[in-house]
Amino acid sequence: MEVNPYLSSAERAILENAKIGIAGAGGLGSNCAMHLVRSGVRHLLIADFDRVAASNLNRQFFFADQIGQKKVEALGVNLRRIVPDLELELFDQKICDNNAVELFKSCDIIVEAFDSANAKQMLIKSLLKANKKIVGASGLGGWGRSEAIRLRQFGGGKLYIIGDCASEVGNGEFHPFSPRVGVAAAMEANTVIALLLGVQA
Amino acid sequence: MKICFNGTWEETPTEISVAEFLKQRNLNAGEIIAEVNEAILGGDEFGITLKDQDHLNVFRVVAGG
Repeated sequence: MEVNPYLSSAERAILENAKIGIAGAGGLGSNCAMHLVRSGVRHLLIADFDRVAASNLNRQFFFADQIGQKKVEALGVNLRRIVPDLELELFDQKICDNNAVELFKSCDIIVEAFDSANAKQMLIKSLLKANKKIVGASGLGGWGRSEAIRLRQFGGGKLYIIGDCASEVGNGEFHPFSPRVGVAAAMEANTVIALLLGVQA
Repeated sequence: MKICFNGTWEETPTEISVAEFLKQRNLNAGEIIAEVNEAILGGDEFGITLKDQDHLNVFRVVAGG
């Protein structure tokens, strides 16, 4: 099924042949995956150990009747409601520095979509050592300040970071809300698409 | 000595390590991903000495997703 009719045949082939890793299926990962699928990406490897909670529904691509389900399984169901014949590799497991490289070694680009700062650092450092290309996010808490969310490139194009790198969720000042998390997730997907199609990220 | 820090040129009077440079700006190296001249530093490389005309770019990794 061709979900995106606005691609050239060459563009469609590039997106369909790419394999994108999604590390974390929360606010960033679930929404980024949705955007990638709607854009024409067909092959995703998604890893997350968590289950859907009621508090996730304010920003994550899940529904009330999925509370309690494993996130990767619920997300797989939701993505296949957009494109039924997706190729999904779903891993219900915690990602750590011992398994990150092995888990994502077959992916062309990995989306960092964790919520914990330590986990973000761990993934970025582990995958950079393995010379993988990463699109991540830092600083998306609260609301407003849309213009502060921007894309920065590091490592000569190995690492792309989206966010304001300041609005920390969990410090009492900022909480995660759908619009700002969604902006960052959409920008992560947009950056992946740009990198795949060879245009400026 | 001039260092381009996150896109802005700054004067530093003496040779300085990345860790000291960040500390002077109240940045916690433990929260930072840093690159010098487009080479991303590993956790054990923040002690390297910056040279004149080096480009140092950093970002804070903060929670949220």
